Amino acid sequence: MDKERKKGHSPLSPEEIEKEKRQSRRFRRMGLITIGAVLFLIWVGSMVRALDAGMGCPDWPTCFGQVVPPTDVSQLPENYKEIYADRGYADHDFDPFKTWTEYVNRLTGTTIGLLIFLTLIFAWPYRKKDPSVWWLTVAAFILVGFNGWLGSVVVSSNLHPAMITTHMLMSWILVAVLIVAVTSSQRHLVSIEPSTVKSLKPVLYLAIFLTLVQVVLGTQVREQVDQIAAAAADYYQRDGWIAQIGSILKFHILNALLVVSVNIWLAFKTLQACQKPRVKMVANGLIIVVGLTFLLGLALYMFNLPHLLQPLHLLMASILFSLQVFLYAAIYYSNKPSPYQWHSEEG
Amino acid sequence: MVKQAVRTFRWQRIHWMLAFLFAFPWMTLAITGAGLGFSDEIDRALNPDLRNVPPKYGQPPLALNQLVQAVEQQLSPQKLLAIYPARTPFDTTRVDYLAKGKRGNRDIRGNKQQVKQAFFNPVTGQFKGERNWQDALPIWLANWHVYLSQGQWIHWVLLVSCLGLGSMVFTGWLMVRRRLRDGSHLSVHAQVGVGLSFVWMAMVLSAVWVGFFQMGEVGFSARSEMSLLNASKGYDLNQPGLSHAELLRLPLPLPNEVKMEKGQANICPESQQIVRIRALPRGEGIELLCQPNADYGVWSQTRWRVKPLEGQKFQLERLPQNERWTWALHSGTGLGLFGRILWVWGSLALLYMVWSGYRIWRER
Repeated sequence: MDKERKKGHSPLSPEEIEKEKRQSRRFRRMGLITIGAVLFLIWVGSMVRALDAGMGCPDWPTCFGQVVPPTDVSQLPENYKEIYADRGYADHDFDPFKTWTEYVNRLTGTTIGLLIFLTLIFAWPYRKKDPSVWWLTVAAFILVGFNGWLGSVVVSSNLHPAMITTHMLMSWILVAVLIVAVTSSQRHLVSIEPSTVKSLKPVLYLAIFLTLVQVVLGTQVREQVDQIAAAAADYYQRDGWIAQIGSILKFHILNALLVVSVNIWLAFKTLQACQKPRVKMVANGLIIVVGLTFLLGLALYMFNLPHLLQPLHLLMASILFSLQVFLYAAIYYSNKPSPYQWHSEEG
Repeated sequence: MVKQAVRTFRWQRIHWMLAFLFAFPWMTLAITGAGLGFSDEIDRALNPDLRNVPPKYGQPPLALNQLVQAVEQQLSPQKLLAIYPARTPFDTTRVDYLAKGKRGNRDIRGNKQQVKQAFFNPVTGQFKGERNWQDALPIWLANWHVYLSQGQWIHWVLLVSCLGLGSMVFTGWLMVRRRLRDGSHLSVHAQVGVGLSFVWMAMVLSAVWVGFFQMGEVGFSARSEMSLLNASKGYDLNQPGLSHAELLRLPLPLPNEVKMEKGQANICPESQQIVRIRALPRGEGIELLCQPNADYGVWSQTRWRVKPLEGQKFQLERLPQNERWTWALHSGTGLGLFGRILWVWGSLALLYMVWSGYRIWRER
């Protein structure tokens, strides 16, 4: 009987329903905080690269062999250049700003480790009644660990462009998994009518496909920029870099126009068809974010790749992808019956 | 009506029979193929000190003669097989050479030798380390992917299973067509199958083409070097190595300032660079292989033979170019990184198809 009730096959008492609601709110809040933190980490990680601070800490998980990195060169061994010669310090001096920029990146990563652990704990009550939420959170937890290891690989590979790309793509997968987990647990708040789903689906799939192509093209542009930067004498003097990027940039720009058009089309279709306030908010967000991403990309092209705009461009693209994943999950779970009785009442 | 039912029934039977017959080879091909899709990155992650160097801002890589001197200092008097210049400022330069070892094949004199890979910093010429060729992950995975680490006969079994996969896709399409005509709902198994069938067909057709016509000629990349992978025959230890003296006499600096006999064009087309320098069999000279600075979107490679004559004279001859459309199709690299990711997902989806297909069969 107790098992039946837990699975939602028999009515629950008001206290039990209230308890489930509390658990649901708790998971939603923690999940959203974690998603926000991962997006923030994507921005911080990109800032590290933009400020050329990736090798600010030449080892991992410690920084110059210390848990708290040095603030002055006097705190390092005299032969530190020799020790870290293979990490690019043979002809570079210690720079506390770069070291601490990278350290903040690592602290953010560690915080996400704690947040995802809490999210996992809060997902525990779902494991029997809604196992998809539990298993998606477990997957996110594993992905955080894996991506942490990838972060160490990025450092040990001396920031190889291909490794940075892999690290970034894994972060996006992590965000997507978390968003699907949270949306799945809150399907009563975001479910879309079946008639609307049918008209939204093709546009959404097209938008996601074009955005993914655009992201991959973007990573290739970034890899080219990394190579040009590595061959350049001055990292911050970027005149003429645009001209050195191959034809991939042209594809990136052309596809950007498609991405903007299709996403705006998707947003308007969603606004027309859907009355749920959260879904409408996401549709409005889609218009703003796709517009900002495009404008930032344009500014990067027009003004010789200002290094601080690159992280913002990436952040906006990440948010755009997150919104699309949310819409996808909302559509997907709209067709699935909820295991929670009170979902239908609140929905 | 009855005829149609019988026809449908037969296609389904064939679909199932093929699945039972080839499920195991498909799964091994899927796992190793997916691994190969990102083997370079995985290898880089597992061997960061061998594969990567910190970029030296604004410093060009060593000219080939300087690099050869550094290599000679470290490896002399070993027989050099090939040099793979660093593609990016983040990469090491790789040199394949023959070394005496406990395992490996015997050369013409009966000496046991094995191919090793040595890695050098392209800017400083510093020796970074070495490993046995068989221990490199891309080679290890490729050996399983092509031979199941067994031998030539498995290669043919796998090729037949590729044809089986093609037939599987074909019968699957016929079944889906039937369902659509009936207005029936398509299962996730069928949807995934339809969605990825073009990926599998590209893999199958290119694999069959390569398996029958190009084995030993080309590789996944200039770096994986499938021609060295002929496990059943072993590497031809008796072919000549790269002569240091010959290399030092090459028109320098490489890669982009070697002039053709006529005109002033570079030896590599614009936007390409030399990705491999190796000795040709029977002392026919040195082969230079050019391709764009990535493994992405490479549909063909330009090949040149440099034959040192007396003094500083050289005979330059353009060899037939490597047609790499088969590999571009097989690995998805023809469509860039996006294609590579899609192909890897396609490979992994094969595992899902086997599992979900088995479940459907059990239910029926």
